Amino acid sequence: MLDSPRLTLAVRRDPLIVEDLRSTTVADDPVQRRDLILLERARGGDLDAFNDLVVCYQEQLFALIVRMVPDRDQAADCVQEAFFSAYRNLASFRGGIVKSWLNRIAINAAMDIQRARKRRPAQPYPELEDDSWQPPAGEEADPVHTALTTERHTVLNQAMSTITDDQRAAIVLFDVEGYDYQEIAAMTGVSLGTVKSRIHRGRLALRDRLADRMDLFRG
Amino acid sequence: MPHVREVGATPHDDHDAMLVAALAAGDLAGTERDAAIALIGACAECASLHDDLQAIARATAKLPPPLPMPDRDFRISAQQAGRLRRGGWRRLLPTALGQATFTRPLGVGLATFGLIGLVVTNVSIGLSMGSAASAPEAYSTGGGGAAAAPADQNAAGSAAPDIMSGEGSAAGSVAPAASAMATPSAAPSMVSIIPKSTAATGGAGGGSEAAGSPQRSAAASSSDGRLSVAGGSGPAATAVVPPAGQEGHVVPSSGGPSVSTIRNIVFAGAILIGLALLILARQARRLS
Repeated sequence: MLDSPRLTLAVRRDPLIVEDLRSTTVADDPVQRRDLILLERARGGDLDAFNDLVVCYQEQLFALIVRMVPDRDQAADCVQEAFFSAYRNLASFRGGIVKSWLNRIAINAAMDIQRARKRRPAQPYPELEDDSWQPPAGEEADPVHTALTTERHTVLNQAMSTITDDQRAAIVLFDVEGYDYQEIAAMTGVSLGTVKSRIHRGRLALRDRLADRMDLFRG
Repeated sequence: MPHVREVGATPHDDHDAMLVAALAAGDLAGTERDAAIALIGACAECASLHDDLQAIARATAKLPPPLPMPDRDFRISAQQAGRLRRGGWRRLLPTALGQATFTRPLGVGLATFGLIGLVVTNVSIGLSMGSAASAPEAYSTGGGGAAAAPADQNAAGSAAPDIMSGEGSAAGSVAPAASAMATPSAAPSMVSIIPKSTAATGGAGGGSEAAGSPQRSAAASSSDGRLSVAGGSGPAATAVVPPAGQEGHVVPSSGGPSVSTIRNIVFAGAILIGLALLILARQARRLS
């Protein structure tokens, strides 16, 4: 009978997880979910949805690209070209993280523009001439330490602008942006070994260029 | 693990800087890591390099953030969207074809095929031209004249007793009728085959020393290098014996592209199509 103690009911304690079999995976991350929804709507012809994506990522893409393309105007052109390319090739997105997809397109746009123009900016990293980026110094701030830090960043950025584009991109993505080897390989379309090689060679090249200024980095 | 003494015996310039860089990045394991540690243990400069690379990596990670982007709107207008949007079959072309697994190998294969074909074709033409240049007078004009073409004693078995020099330029595209070497010739010769009715005359000499050629058994060369060939009942004519090494083929006497031109076009087309496929595959990979 139903009140028998031996009767056990099959009661699901945890809700069943239904796998979403659509082409774009449903992510737990709300940001990723938002991106995928906007992307799907953009694919359907909704330009405003795509522009919402642009607003979400334009600053982040610019910050990434300006490290690889020191000229700010060129960097802005790269970002614009990246968004044009993303809109043109919405159908090529085959799932994954939208941010990584946009990063990949932007990095390729940066490489293309650098190859096409082949000119060094007259003033790489102009922000280092402007102290507004620096947080307000605390009372315990040592002016000597601050000056040394600024000098170190200046010479490092100047050296970074002289290494090859591939090496600079790899070092920026790994050391500055914090991506791992696998992510960098996916973004740049090369093998894991090539990513490592570019980073190692890039650092060796930086060390060669900074040979007479290494005192700023030691200790 | 390499012996420390062995490492120290070699100058620093011979040490593997990439190994030190990989150790500084923490990318080594096992015996490679042991070798790198031994290296920096035995060589002071390698140790300094290792420390410097780590210091540079730390400093790079602490680079200040860039200034905010300029006051620029990256959003796409409706007009821009209209220009960017592609419709119809063009939209599918780069994605479908570029993402196919066979695109890249096919592109590489076509480009390689075209390149090899062009090289082989034009090298053969070059050889033919070189051989022809060694005896230009034999092919300069048709008709009579005792063109004392120098004989090449090393003539290959590609005699052309059946080939007559025509009125126009005959710069070296004489080919035996039965010759197996259908090597294309770049010379714009306009020769035509005219059967000779008279019996072969003359003696040995000239450029008819192509030993081993079956055609020569029916012909004899005159001392001036021309070869009279016995043939059918047509008008008498004199064959001009090609110099040694000359290989040619029958070319049409009027109009039309030569076989070599057609081949060059085909091979060049293969290269172009192969490169196009490689570009499509690369574009698809960058955008996926």
